[in-house]
Parts: sequence; structure tokens; C-alpha cells
Amino acid sequence: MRSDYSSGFLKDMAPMLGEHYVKWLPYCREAVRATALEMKDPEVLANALGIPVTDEVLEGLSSAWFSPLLAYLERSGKLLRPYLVCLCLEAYGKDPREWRRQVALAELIHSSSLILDDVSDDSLFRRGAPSAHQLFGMRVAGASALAWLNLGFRLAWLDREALGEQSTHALIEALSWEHFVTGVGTTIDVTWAWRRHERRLPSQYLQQVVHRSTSYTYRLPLKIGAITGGAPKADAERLAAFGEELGLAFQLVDDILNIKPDDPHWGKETAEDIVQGKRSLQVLYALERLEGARRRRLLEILDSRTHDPEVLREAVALIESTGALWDSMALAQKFRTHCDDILQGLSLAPIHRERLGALAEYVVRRAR
Amino acid sequence: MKTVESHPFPEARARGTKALEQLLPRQCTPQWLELMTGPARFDWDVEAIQQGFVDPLYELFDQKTERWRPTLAALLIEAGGRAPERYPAMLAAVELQHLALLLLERLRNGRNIAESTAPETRLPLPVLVTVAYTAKQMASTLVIRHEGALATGTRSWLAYQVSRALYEASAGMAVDIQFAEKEASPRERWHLRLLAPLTFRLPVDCALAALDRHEASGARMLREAASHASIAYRLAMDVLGRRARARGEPAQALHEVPIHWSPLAPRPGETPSVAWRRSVESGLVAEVLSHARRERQEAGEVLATADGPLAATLRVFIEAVVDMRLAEAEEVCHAE
Repeated sequence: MRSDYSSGFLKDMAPMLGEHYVKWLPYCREAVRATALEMKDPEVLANALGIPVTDEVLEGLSSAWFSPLLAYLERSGKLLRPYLVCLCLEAYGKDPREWRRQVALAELIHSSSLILDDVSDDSLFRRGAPSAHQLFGMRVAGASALAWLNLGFRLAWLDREALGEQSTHALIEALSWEHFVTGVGTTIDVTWAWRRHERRLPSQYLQQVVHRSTSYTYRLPLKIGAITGGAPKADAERLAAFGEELGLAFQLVDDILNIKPDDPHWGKETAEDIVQGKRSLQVLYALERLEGARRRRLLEILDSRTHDPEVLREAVALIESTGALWDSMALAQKFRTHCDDILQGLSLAPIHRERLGALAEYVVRRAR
Repeated sequence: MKTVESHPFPEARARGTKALEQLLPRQCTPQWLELMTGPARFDWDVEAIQQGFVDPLYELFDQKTERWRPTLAALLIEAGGRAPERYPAMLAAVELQHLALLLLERLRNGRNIAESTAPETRLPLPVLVTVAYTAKQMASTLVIRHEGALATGTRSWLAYQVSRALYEASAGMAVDIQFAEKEASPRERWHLRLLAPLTFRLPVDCALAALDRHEASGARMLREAASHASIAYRLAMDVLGRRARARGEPAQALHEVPIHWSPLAPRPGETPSVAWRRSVESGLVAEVLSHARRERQEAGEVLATADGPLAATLRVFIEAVVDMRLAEAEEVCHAE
């Protein structure tokens, strides 16, 4: 694991959250690693794929299917998603150690989605190293990620006896729906870049965030935790709503950090969103407020796909001059406040609610 | 190549067409989006969904009109004594999976967008892969949320089978591409077995779920026969596709589902027509067809041990569709 990337962010967390997170981090790492590597066991693989697993099969799959994902897992991100599953399980009286696959599921899906995001955006870097498609090619990386995403259903299915019929159904439904709506949200994102629409609205951007960015970041891990933990229906719904608010706040902060990173270990190309011509909330705000030559200049830069740092800095200055970053941050804070309102309705002990509240605070205060 | 004018099962095919049009209307509306994703919290950009998802999918849907997969599912459901029109979501799901696979097959494996987008597609790569992703993932959502005629446990099982077919095929595709890149020669063409489920096995799974026979003793045999038939079909299509490319037919008009690692694939620097000529003269085409025949025979042998209307219907389907393509491919081989 790259320690410079994966540990520095703890300073952004409240101690009561940071300590709990650090307590579960080794288990999360082990659960993810064990679940991913378990697939290399010939017997497990044969059962999963329904074909005899010879050395040649193992070698072929290791190289094409496992390697792209393992490259991301070895660079280990923050593992916040499996931690969230642990937090929920513990909150509802379950031992996360008895639910290794469901803990790992959240990270396997998250990492797979990052590979697909990087393919879609043609991103050069992820977690400070070349993106999967730079290493393995677009199609191998994409097919590998899609295979892992859908292998998640098997992880749920394998635990169906322990989960029971209703929870298995709920988990498979959650996975299906979240995967699908992520595609719908991404459709808007990539279509805007393709058709270079200028008249898009901030409210339309937020709608695509609801479906794209909130899913794998927070809503799905919280659903996995709530369903596996056996949360009451009302709590499960509130946790999903909490995940959505958190995901909205996360994305708006992420958009700001993308063009103005506050940490030398950001791990991505600076102002990548401007390079890709993305119409994020701050860009839409700026386009609404800029006039004449300044507006035309921002559009020109967005459509140029330039990597020139000086030109990118010019675009950031134009956006910042309109107050767009400030207003995006204010909206992120509003979503963060919604989180507190939702937490009040949960039937959990105060300590668990406080941890979730601290997580919301971390999301808007983080430097990366 | 024979086209839909000679479709052997026009009614079942029409059900497949109708099912997709019912579950994914050609004109995207806020009502459809709400049905599929829930109420809008802010504002939908309906136009973007239309341009970036619905239109590209229907463009392909209108080009590829055989609908073999929903046709097979509908035939089997009917043979089992139920009305296929009660199960539109699963019929739409299997066609969506097929369309998504076709879209992805159009790409090259470059290390960036410019290297990866195939010249014949007008869609930028991010849009194309997103259409394919969304279509694939819509399939399991359709089954688990919109196939109301199935019991809860059966819907979970079928959604799992949809996802299983996806991860098997995706893993198979990744290996297939890498074999092709490395010019490796797998001793056994096992990766074809991973690519098979999305062809005819998933439609069999749909029918088994509709008939509530997914746990019945004969289910395994039907699935196995469908897998063998799928491989035979893909190999025959590989021969027909390579020959069509050698003759300069436009890619959009091809009915192929290519296999990237294939003895028939052009070598570096070789044109499709030179590769085809070499493949014919060296006996590679005959070898591929021989493999296809063996798979077809195995499908027949498995079905010979199975009784009942489902096995009989699958047999009829294989004879009509797989044998038709095999015969066409053999005719091509002999003509050369």
C-alpha cells in the first residue's frame, strides 16, 4: 500500500471516527484481499464459472480478469466503503467478522466502478499510478471491471442461507438498481461532454449526481450494511437517504478539489474535469454568471481538452471569480446538514449516530 | 446470409420486439425514468438520456432484428404451458444483454480513447461504453423489480443468473481479447464456454424461472445443451463474419458476434481477405467448423437424454437456428 496516499487523510477525521475507523481498517483490508484472492482458488473459480479450472485457465483469468482490479486494490484507497459496512453491522449488533464477503463487496464494487469511470473519462492516473486501461487496454480493463461488479451478486447469493430469502432479495435488488441508476447518471455526464450542451441546468447536474456519484460512494455501502445487519425497514430507508445526502456533498466537494486540490497527494491529474470539458455544478454556476468574452473564453477552454497548466489555471480563476466554488461548497454544507436531520430518526444508539455524523463532517472537510 | 424474412419463429420474435419497446419506450419520458429510477429529486435531462442511451440502443436494435434470445425464451415458456407475454421484462432483459455485447464488440483494445474507438461507430467511446453498461445493468433490474409474475425467490434467482451470465461473459471477453493480443493459442477453447451464457443459456434460465422449474432435475441438461449450442453458433458466426469482412461488407451489416482469439483472425499487417484466403487454404476454416459441429453434436446428445416439451422445443430451435448458420458456414467453406 502507498502509505503517503492512504494515511494522511486521517487528520481530516474527528478522533472518535478516526479511532473506530483505524480499529476496523486492518480487517477491512484483509476482508477485501481475502475475498478477491479467494477467486484464484481453482475450486472456488470452477464453482463460480462452471468450467474446469486447469493451469491454463487460471493463468488466463489471472492475467486478464484479476490483474486490473488487483492493481487498484494493491494501491489501496481509504477503504471507507467496507468500513461503512462494518459500522452498520456493528450498529445493528452483528459481528463484521462473520460477514467478510459483504464487507469486501462494497470495496470490490467501488474499485471496479473506478476502473469504469477511468475508462469513461480516459483518466491517466488513479491513486497516484497509471489507470487500469493505461496498463491493460480499454476493453480488457472494462470487461474485467464489469465481471467484478457482477461477481458481487454471487457474493450475496453465496450467503443466502445466512441472510435469509428477504434480505438476499433486498441485497440483489439494491445491487441491480444501484448498478443501473449509476449508468443512467453517467449517461447524462458523458452525453453532456459529447453534445457540448451549454444550456444545462445546475438542477440537472444534481439529478445526475443523485444517480451517478452517490451510489457507489455511500448509498450502496450503507444499503449493504443495513440489509446485512438486519436493520428495521425504516432505518434502512433512512440510511439510504443519508448515503444520498452524503454522496451529494461528497461529489460537490470532489468537484472543487478536482480543480483546486488541497493536498500534494491528490493522486489524479489536476483540473482533470476541465481537461475533459465537464459541466460540473461550479462550471454551470460560472457559465450562468459570466458574460461576453469571459464566458466565451471559459467555454473555449472547456471544449479544447487542453492539458496546458497555465490555461487550466486561467479556467479555474474564471470559475472562482464568479463565486461558483463558494456557492458549491455552501450547497455541500446544506446536504451535510440534511444528514444530521436524517440521523436523528435512526433507532441506533447515540455513539453510532455520532460516528455517522462525524463521517458527514469529514466528507465536507476533507482535503482529498 | 439468411435474414429475418425467413425467420422461423415470427410470432416469438415479435414478442421479443414488443417486450423491449414496452419496457424501454423509444421516446424517453419523465414517467419512464420515474418508473425505472424513482421520483426525480431535482430535474431530469430527458433529452440527454434520449440521445445518450435510448437512441443509440434503438439504432442497433433496428439493425439486428433476429431477436434469437427472446425468441428462444418465448418458445420455451410457451412450450411449458405459460403465456410468454406475461413475462415482458425477462424477454427485454435478454435482448438488452445481447445489444450491449454487440456494442462492446465494436471497440478495439487501445490504451486510450483514440486508440480504442472503432472507426465504424459514430458514438464517442465514453458514450458507447456507457450505453452498453447501462443496458447490461438494466437487465437484472428489469428482472428483479419488474417481473411481477415471478415469486420473490425466483426473481432473486433469475437476477443472479443474469448477473452470473454477465460476469462469466465479461471475464471470458477479457481473456479472449488478451489471448488475441498475445497471439496465444489456448489448448482448449475454454474461454468460448465463458462467452456462451449470454447467447442461449440465459434465455433457457428465463424460461425455467417463468415455469418455476429452475430447480427441477432436467434444468441442468437444458442449460448444458444451450451452452454447447451457443458455442456452435458463435463459431459458425465467426466463419460467416470473417468471410463477410473479407468481401468488404460493412461492419454494420454483419450478423457476427466475433471471437477475438480465433484461428481465422488476421495476422498483424494482414488484410481480412488475405487472412480469409489463408484460413481456407490451410484448412483452418474446416477445423473451426469441425469444432462447431462437435459442440452441436454434444448439444444433441445432451438433449437426447432429456424428455418433455422444453427439451423438444430447444431441439427444434437448435435445428432451425444453429443448424441454419452451420449449414451456411459449411456452404461458404465448400464454395471456396
